[in-house]
Amino acid sequence: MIISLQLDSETPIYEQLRNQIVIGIATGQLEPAEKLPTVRQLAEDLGINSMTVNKTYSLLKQEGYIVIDRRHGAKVSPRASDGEGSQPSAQLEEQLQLIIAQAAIKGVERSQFDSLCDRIFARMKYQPQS
Amino acid sequence: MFVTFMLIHFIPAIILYSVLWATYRPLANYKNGMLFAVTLPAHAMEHPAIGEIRARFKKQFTQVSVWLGVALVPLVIMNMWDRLLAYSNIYFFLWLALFIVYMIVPPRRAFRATLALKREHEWFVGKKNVVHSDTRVARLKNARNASTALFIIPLAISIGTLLWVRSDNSSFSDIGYAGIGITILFIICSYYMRRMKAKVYSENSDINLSLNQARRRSLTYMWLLLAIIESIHFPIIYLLVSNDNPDLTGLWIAVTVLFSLIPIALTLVTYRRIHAQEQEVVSQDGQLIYSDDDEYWANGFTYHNPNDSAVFVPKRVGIGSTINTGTLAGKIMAGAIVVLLAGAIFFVSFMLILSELTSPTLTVTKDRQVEIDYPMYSYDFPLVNIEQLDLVDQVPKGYKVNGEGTTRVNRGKFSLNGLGTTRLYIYKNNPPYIRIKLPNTYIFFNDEDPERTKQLYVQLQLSMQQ
Repeated sequence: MIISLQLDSETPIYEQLRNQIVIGIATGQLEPAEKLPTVRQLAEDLGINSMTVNKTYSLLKQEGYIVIDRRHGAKVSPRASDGEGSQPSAQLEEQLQLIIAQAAIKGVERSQFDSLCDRIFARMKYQPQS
Repeated sequence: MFVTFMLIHFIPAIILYSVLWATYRPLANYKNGMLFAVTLPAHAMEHPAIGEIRARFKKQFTQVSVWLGVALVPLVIMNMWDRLLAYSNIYFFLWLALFIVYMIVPPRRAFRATLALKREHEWFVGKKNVVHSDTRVARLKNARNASTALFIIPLAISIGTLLWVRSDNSSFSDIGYAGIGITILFIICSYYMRRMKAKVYSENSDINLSLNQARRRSLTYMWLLLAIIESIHFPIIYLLVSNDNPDLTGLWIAVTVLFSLIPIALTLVTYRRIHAQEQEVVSQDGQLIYSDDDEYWANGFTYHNPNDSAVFVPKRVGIGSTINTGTLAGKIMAGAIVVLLAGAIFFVSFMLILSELTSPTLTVTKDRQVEIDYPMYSYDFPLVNIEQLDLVDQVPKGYKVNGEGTTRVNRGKFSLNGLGTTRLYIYKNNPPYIRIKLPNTYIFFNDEDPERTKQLYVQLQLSMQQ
């Protein structure tokens, strides 16, 4: 996948990198079990500090999106075996509440929001193992 | 006389003109989305102000070239007059400095004007302050490179050369060390090339991967080939330098020129091929990624980006890489290059003037030592070491190893036919010469005034008899 970082953004670089990798996994740009570049390779290619990439990788590992093997380096986690119909977590609800609140204040209609959600969801190619 | 002028001043000047014209003149054409090293959208080309900048650049560039050409005329005159010969080199250095400074003025002006116009009209292409990376490319960019282990070939040749030269004639072992040094330099270049950033051309990862791998493959093989060619160059230099036959001088020049041309040709061909390949693939792809990093290219050709940790980045104008002066390593390197260049030019000019103004002196001290005093090439030895002392009218022919050889004087270490390594402190074609035979070497010395040479000879003879 192609990672693009906005260097003068308010979002810290490690967070931009984390978000893009998560989106990449969900949209199928990164396949399950696909190898990721090493911390040094990615830092060199983006021209950023390797500590930043290191931070992103350990965050992603903590959240279970990637696995880090001492011999083979980092790779995307194999398909989650939770199965379909896994319940949304309380954390997800909290994050979504903030987004919906912002949309409601800006005057976005319920139907508009639903169709936007549908459109974004349709882009997600990730298939959890059934 | 005229031949030296052609070789030392005229040919380098022609090469410089060709390089600068080939590099900067094409900037006036809109190519790869860039004009004067500024990324611009195609529709901006129709703006009348752009046309004006182009016309002004073309006129100024031609004018500067002609004026600098006129400034070369005094060199011809200086080369025709012996006394001015040493100053001609200083004049040439000055001309070189002026040439490099002034030839860059028109492209720099055009760059600034274009950039100002771009800001005024907001002709931005792509996003600013964005860096891209393709995760597959970051991981696999070096997968098809020439193996670093292959550098064993040039390294083995260089080490072999050193061992051979040392066993053959140890006074030339510098050539062997230089060969190893050059090989190591190429290994370092190849290493940094591998570590350079991959370029993200397109949204299509396959294109990014194939272009980056092809580029790196070509460049790593180019460095390897350059290292092998140079490692062969050094034993050839040694063969020709250690050959006493003056008939082979022509061959020596031919081989040296050939071995300097092959690497240049190889580099040009490699970059041309890479460029053609990129153009072909990129022109067929509809998902190109642009990013606008004009503001990091001060003057259009020096890169300064503190947000980028890469020390070497591919150039925008011309071929090869340049240094990112936004990094500490880049700052140190850029500073070192400037200091070294300025130091070298200053030092060489200083030595040239000094050698023109001072002449070697030969004195016998109270503790029976003979001292020959001359900047850089002084030589002392005990009087008792003199095996033979003669006054001769002829100095055998030979070539310079290390020293000064002008039309007027020969000073320093030379290798003479039949005598081997010899130290010369002589005014040419100005007999007689004092010839001193030492256990391992010969020394030739004379004064500009033949009478003074004879007096010195008598004085030395007397000192030896005491």
